[in-house]
Amino acid sequence: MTPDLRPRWWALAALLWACPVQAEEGAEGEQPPAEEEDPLSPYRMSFASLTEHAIGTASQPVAFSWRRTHTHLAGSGSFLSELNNFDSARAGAMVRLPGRGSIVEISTSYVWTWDTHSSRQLALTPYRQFGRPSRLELDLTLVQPLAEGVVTAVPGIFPATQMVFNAYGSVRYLVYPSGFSGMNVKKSLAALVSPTLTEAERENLEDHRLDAMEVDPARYGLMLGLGDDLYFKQGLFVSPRVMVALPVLAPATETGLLLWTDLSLAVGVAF
Amino acid sequence: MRGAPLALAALLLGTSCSKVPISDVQAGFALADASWFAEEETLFLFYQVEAEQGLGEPSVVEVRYTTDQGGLDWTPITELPTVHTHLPVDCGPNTLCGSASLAVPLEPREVALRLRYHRDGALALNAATVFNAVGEGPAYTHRSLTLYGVFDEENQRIQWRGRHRFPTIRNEQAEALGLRREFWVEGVRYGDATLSTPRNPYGYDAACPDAFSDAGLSSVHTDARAVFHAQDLPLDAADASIACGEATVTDALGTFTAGAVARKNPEVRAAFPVLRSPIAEARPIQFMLGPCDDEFSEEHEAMQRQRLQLGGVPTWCIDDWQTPGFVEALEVALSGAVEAARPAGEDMVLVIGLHQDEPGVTAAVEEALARVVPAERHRSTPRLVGAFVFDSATHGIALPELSPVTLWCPAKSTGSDTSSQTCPTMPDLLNLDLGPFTFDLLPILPSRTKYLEFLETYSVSQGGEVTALHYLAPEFATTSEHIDLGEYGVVTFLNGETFPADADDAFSYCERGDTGPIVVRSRLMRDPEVQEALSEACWEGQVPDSLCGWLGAGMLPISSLPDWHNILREDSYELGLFWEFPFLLRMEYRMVIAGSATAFGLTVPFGVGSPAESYYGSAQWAQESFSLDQALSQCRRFCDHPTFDSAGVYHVLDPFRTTYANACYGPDYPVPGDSGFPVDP
Repeated sequence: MTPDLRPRWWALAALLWACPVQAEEGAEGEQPPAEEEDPLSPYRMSFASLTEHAIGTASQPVAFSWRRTHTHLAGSGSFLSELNNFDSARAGAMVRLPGRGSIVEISTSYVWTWDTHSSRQLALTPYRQFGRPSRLELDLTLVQPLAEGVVTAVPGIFPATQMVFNAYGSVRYLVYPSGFSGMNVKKSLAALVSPTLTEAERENLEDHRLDAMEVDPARYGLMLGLGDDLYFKQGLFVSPRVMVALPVLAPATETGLLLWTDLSLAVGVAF
Repeated sequence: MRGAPLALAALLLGTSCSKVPISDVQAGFALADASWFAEEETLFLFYQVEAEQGLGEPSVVEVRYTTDQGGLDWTPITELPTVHTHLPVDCGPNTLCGSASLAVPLEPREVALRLRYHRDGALALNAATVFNAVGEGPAYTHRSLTLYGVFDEENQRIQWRGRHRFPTIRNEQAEALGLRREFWVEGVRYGDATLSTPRNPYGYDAACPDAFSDAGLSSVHTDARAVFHAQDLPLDAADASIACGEATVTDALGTFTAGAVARKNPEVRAAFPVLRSPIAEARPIQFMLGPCDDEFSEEHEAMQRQRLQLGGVPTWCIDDWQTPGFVEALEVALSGAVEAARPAGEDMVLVIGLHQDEPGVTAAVEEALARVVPAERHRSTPRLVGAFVFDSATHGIALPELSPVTLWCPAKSTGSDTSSQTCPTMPDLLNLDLGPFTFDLLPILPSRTKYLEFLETYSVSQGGEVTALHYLAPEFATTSEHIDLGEYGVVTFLNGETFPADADDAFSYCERGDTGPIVVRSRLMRDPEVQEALSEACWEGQVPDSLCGWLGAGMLPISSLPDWHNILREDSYELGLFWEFPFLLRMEYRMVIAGSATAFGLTVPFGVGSPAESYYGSAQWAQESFSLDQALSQCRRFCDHPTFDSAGVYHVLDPFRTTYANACYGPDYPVPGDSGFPVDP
């Protein structure tokens, strides 16, 4: 809710109008009577003082008001930098639900993992490295805007856009569909709430892992990140971001992949 | 403390920012065995590699060996042709295991196995390979597969079995590692012969006698470890002890045919399924002995009469117990009552209430009872089985001939002896003082002292009451034979319970809790010369002391019958029942937990009653039959043949006769339709 600033604007206008008049009168040498009462004197303030104090809150400059939208739909792609010898990329879709001051994101993605030259060489040795086979990932993310404003774009053919600088906090849940093979409903439900992959899941994933891979047992993790949302006037938006996995849940999930990053780009439209 | 989170964060980031480490899979050979059989020109390989993680399809096990005519360089086992079928085996997610059989005509040397971590890699893990070479020799010791037969429970249908035989690998382990052998059996015949030997217990490769009869069975074929014939043997084969056939197996040279033998299972049945001893309720002959001139405790006498159900029985006066002739008079009275009741045809029990306060009375009563009761102990029904005396004070029977037939209550407690035959005075189970409340529980057969003490606090109704008395005793037939073992008890051979035995029969005794005290006797056990010889053996310590006493009486515990018969092979045995006390008293009564509340000099008694039941005497008379169905088994035929145990395992070296003489025999036989992979470790 924007505060009503009209009284203060009127006071400032009156003050600015009054100052030149004083200078003009002084130049003519006419001394005002010393005892004459000035009805505005209680409101007078020097310009220097005025510039050092806020006298109001500017309304946000808006090219596109994302707060007034209801739903955002976007497709996303990302590259995972897991600090091991396997390559992983993912693609998926997300739904964003804007609130008054933040956005909640729900997304699902599929992650492809493949060998690199290094991992193929590693497979020839008796050594293995933690990694994750191809999988589904579910993300629940809270987006908190930190700064925003209208910015111009280069080249100039692009119109001015609304840029929002965000912080992200996310819980990422990994699903290996092939891991549940041969498990009954009861065991599958029990596995879903376990922070680590069960023994049966690990056995199933042995047939789906890469040769040099030791399957990472973690089922979920916590990620934090920073990024921008660039909104065009028509509602189209682009959202690049950098997410970092924090190993704070490692004691429970027994993950061998501690600190890694996810560089992603989402493109979507806001309604 | 504020620095702790920062330090933890620094440590976390410090360890996290490094690359993901690589780890050794820690692979190792749990099994790497090779066996070469000259008779088959086949090299068998068995392996099992275990790792913490990382073994998969790219990992391969390789073999190499050298012979005088060359050899084989490192080659993945799975790429080599095999002599037999080897199924792929799943030994677990981080385990690689399997087997192979390679045609190797000459004896190999330097046989070695290794794991190549990746079929395209150069790194490998060498195994400490165990190698055995089996030279030429008899098929039953020098070939890798032994064939034999077993019978089903009815001894009518044959199951042929293959048994892997490797120097370092067990039968079921070879199967678990994927090895399958193909064999077939044809030309089955039956007859009587002993084709097995100590060196060849399965009788494999034994020639089937020409005199055997053709069974007319079609051939059977399998690549499992066992296969049943589809038909039974003909009825004419019922007496035949074995069947044999021509068994053929494959090897690197083609096929090999040898004789295989199936021996029938021991034919076992219960030797004497049930020993019956009819139990009947004995008639109580009631007496109330007490003073007629000097009644000293009416309350106590009333309690005694109630307990023994002697409500209308007149008091037999004992005021003159010190006068000569008292014992004789009492004897006449007791005997007369017994003879008067005998025509009813029932066993009898003397039930005597003894209301007295002079110590000498009990001795006189004991003497009179000793003249009447023991003499009838070994008579047949109708007879006086014993006596039950409810005295005024605790007492221990002084006359030894009286104690085996008399239940005297309350008895003096003799240390830890609280058996039901001594009727001891139990200590107070419940005697509580809780402020104004007191609680007590009076024994149902108390002494006068205890009873009167009880009445000082509580009332008569809180002492409980007997509601029924049952005297249970065995009915002895006129042919019953009793052998008195003195203080130990009596053995009664009830009614000629005899069973026959052949010389080549074998017995098995299985110790069970419900068997009962059964003994056995035979002609030789009672033979004076044999007894004399056994007596000398006992003196010389050649016979266990626990048996010498029994042998002196011409009998043995039933548990010793199998060994006795294996030595002396008698043609019949008779069963007898050992007992210590002639009757069982079952008392039904109402037990009362007595309480009283005292306040301001006024005591209010109260109580909670509940039905109860007690047994005095010999508990074995609570049952009319003693089951020997599972306890004593008798083998009638094929008693020296191998046996199945309760897990279905065929014990080729454990014949019934010696293995189960003193062990429980509960075989689990193979059944047509089984998996084809019997338990055969």
